[in-house]
Amino acid sequence: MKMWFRKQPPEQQENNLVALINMYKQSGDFVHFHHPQSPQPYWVSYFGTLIDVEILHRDILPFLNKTAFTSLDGVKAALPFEDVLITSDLQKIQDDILQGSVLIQLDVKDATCLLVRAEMKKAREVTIPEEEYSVVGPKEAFVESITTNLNLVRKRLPISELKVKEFTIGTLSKTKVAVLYIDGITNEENVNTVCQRLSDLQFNQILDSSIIAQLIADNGHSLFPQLIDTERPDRVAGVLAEGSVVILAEGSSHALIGPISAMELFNAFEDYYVNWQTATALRLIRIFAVSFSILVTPIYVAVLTYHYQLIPKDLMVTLVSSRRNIPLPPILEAIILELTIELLREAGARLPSKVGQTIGIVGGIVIGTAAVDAGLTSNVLLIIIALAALASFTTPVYRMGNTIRLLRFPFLLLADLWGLLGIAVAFIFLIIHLLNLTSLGRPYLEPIYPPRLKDFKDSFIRFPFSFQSKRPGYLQTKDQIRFSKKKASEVHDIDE
Amino acid sequence: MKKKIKIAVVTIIIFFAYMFGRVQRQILDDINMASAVGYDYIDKDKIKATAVMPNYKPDKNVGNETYTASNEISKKTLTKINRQSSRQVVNGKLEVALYSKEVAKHGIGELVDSLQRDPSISERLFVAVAEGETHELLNKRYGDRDTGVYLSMLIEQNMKEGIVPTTNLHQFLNDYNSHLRDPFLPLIEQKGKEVNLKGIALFKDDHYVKNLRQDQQFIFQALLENLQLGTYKLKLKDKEFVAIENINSKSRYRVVNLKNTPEIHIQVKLRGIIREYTGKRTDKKEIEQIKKQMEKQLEKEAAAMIRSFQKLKIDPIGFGNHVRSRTRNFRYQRWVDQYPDVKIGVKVNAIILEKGVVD
Amino acid sequence: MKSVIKDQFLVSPFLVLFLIHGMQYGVGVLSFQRDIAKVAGHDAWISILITGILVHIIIWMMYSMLNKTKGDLITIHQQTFGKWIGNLLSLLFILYVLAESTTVLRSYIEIVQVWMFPLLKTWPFALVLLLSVYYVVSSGFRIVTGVCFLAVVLPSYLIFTYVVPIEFSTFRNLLPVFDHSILEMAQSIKGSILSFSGFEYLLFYYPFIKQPESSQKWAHFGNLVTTLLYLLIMIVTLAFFDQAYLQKVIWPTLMMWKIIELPFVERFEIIGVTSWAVVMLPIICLMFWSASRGIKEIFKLKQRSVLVFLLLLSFIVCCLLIDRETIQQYNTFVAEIGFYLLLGYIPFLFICCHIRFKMREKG
Repeated sequence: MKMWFRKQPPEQQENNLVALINMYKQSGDFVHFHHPQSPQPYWVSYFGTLIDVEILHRDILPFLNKTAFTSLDGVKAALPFEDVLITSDLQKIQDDILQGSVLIQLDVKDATCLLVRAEMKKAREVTIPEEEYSVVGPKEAFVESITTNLNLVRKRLPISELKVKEFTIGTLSKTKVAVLYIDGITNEENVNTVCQRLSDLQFNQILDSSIIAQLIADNGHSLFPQLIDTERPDRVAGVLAEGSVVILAEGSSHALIGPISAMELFNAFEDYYVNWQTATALRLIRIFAVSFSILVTPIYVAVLTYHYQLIPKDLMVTLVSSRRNIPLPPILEAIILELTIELLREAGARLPSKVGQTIGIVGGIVIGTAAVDAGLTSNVLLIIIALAALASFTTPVYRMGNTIRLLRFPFLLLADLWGLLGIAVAFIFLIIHLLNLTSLGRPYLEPIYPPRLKDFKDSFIRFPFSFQSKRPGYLQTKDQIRFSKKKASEVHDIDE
Repeated sequence: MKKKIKIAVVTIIIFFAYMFGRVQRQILDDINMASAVGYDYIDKDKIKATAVMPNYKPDKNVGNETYTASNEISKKTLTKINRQSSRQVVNGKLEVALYSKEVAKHGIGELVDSLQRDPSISERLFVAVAEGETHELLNKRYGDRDTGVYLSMLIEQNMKEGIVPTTNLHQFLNDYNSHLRDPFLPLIEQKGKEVNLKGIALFKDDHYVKNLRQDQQFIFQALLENLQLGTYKLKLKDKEFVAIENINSKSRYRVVNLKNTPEIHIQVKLRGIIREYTGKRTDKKEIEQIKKQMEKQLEKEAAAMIRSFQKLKIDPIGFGNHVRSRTRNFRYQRWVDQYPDVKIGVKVNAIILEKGVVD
Repeated sequence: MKSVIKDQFLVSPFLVLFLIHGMQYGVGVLSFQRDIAKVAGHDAWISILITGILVHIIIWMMYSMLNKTKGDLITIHQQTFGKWIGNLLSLLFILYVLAESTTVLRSYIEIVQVWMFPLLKTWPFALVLLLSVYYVVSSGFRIVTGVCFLAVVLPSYLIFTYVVPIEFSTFRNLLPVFDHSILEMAQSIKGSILSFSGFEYLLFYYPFIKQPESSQKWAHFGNLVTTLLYLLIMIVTLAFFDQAYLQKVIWPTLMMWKIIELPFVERFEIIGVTSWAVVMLPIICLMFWSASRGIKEIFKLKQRSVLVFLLLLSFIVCCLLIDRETIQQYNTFVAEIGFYLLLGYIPFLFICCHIRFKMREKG
């Protein structure tokens, strides 16, 4: 078994506080000093890189120097902090110091000490969402601080029912993870599933919420995202009100949403900010784009390799003459071009944005034209592949875009093997896989299967809000009613 | 352990499927798609087949390649043609199949079988009879497309215009296999640099028997199907003629005396517009006269045509099916015996809707 | 007594519509017209109607038995005929199910071989299809139902393709109505009942339905959909083909698709055959699910290992059927059994079952 999956053996318990401090002293940034001149001598120890030195100098040291006290309780009373703790629990002391507490002792050999929180709070300013940018609607995005993120959510849901459950995960990273839900709406079962999975988690380092998403997914081997990650606090607030569970992690600018249905991968949150006709049209375009992106290259390969009969006679001239001089069979031609596009995408993603743009231009125009001119690829396929790549960018969930990119290859290989029938076989396996998938134990393909007509109101089509008086069925919420439909749909007579 | 076995089995299945499941590829640019095929008569058990294949060039021009081979079975000629061609010859894109009149006279049964048995052949394929050698007809290049597509466009266009009745492979096979109908095919002819539709070739079973005169073609079509865009040219008394276009026809069949010898009464309703007229004025009287004469002439043509059908014992219009659909316990043999003596009357009712923008 | 199936494995009653319809609507649709028209001629569509009604009666019979016993076929057999004879009969039934599943699989592969890839070897394709069957069946009945549901919904666009050939049809072919004797009509039912077969699997999955009693109307509704669809196809076929020509054509539905020409696609039959892969998948899946479930009940074996064994068996039989003639013989043989099973055995079982219950009530 891989070692890092297991809980690491707890570090050797220090016998006492002195030994602990001595061990810490081995680190260069650990500060441990004695203050003999003050009315009462005391010892202060902390990690200089973890605490906010200004707080120490402005708020802690002046107090200690001014007043005389005899016990730690006196110190506690004197300090203007609410987060002051007197303890002799070594484990607690160890953890707190590492999270930015200042340790105060009256004597070096004391086993009891006082801990004051003075951690350095450094986080990015709240900025505009980049992955899920929208033209209309709020433009705040999560940052890497869980406190700020919680604040962003709480601001949008100022109700006492919004509950936050905290976990600390990761034997090395000690990441603070928060589970958010609204009491009375969210199904307890979903919350319990999330909490159970989080507390069962054995991993050393949680650097981002996406790691959690992979670790607690129902099927870890699936290509499909089973939890949506979002950087939009408005989306989080929205789904919380619908009855979903949200996971936030310290140091991650993405929140996880679950349970989800596959349809939600096509929903941008912007859909709720535009009128329903536009939103519906956009969703249908996205669904079309995704199926187009997956299927079009395999269909090209299948038709050109096996089913010449299918091509209408007027299209025949264009297709055959574009391929006349190409030395490669369609499958190789397609795979080479697909790989080229993937190369461009990867190169663009790894480079700073300005250079990335150049790569796009160089790749798109120069390589494309040159390849056609040199007779390596047909221009029809070039158009198809470029369109397919473009279509794969329409998914609002970034992770889904990656899924589509990869999904194309098994389809391509099967298309090369059995033509359209191969595509059908690949499609069958895809359907079975999707039917098997669950998100936090809820069926993934809902509302298609199990069929729930009521949930179609916000899947392929976004009906107007007056139709959305009930929460989505797949979340199995405790309180189904969102608002009273009767009041909303009251019909007034003319001029009344 | 169990999981490992599972993964191994799945991998092996995928591997085997990929290794042994391969099927024959027909990559678009590595095949020669025959677009037209023609059959000529050599002697009693030999035929000559000519296949036209478009040669698509990288600059989007389409050339023509013709191959000729002769053998006993049409399938075998294809293999012979395959031997001549640098690319595999496939017939999934066949647009037109032509039979020379000679072949058609000797029966096309065997040749048709290869068309109906091969699943790759389109049901919308046009079958036609050609006056003279199909070899010569197909060897020429017409228009800017390859001969096959040119011919199919030609026939299709004429069918849409109502000059020949719609027939495709399906309808031909339906008639050919039917006990109650006999097939007919468009007859084409090469004239200099062009090909034109000459008329309709009538078959008895699989033998060509006669072709329909051009002036009978209109009433033939009107009896066969509901016309949408027919055209009819009428000669009037004093060397004047009138062209009636956009003719919309409806025919109603009535069969009486089913117990003994059935009698068939057909009423044809025509609605058309005058497009050309060499006379002086088109006033009410004149139009009435045109109408009368048109009705009379069509009735006369129809009667002559049907009489000739009965004489030859062929039934391309499908009177048999009309009688069958009205007879309980229809007996096929009795109908066949009766057919030459069955009384078939046609009544035409013409309406002139418009006469253009001048009087 | 049987163990009760857990709630999470049950399916909603209305999904029975898709289970019944999806099972009936299979490979037979591509070729059923000829066998019926052979005897009933242009009245073949009446035969479809009569058979539809007959099937409604049989479905009613099955529900009446199942509602009484609250179990599946195996429980009915055991309660009616005792443990030993009952199990033997169940085993024979399962054998038929297995034979039928092989027929479906082989027939589909044959269609692919004739219409798309003449050089396609049977075994690699069968292997891949059976792999997908294993994937479905081993995921449980809910997924089997899901596949059934999607296989009805996704290819439903094919309905439009039955309307296109009307352009080339003569509906006069259908006249005169009722031109065949009652005997001929009765004979034609034999041909058409087979295209309706598939509803009998209700005997296996009945315990997996939530409130199974309330699902009866959906089962009848499913059969109604099948009847109407068949009626449409039959009428169009009769109008599209001349009777003499129809007798020559092996797959009339595919021939009708051949005439369809869309602006972006010529030759629709290739798309049709491809779509049919999705249509026939749930049929094989549910058959294997039923067979393995039945054996599990009788012998108390693990369903997964039974399934693997059955798939292998079917695979071998499938590979042994090489040419058209053998396939035809095998199909006719299975069809013969199927006919007597559906129209003979199930009513017989119905009577036996009720007599048994009457006796038990008295005794």
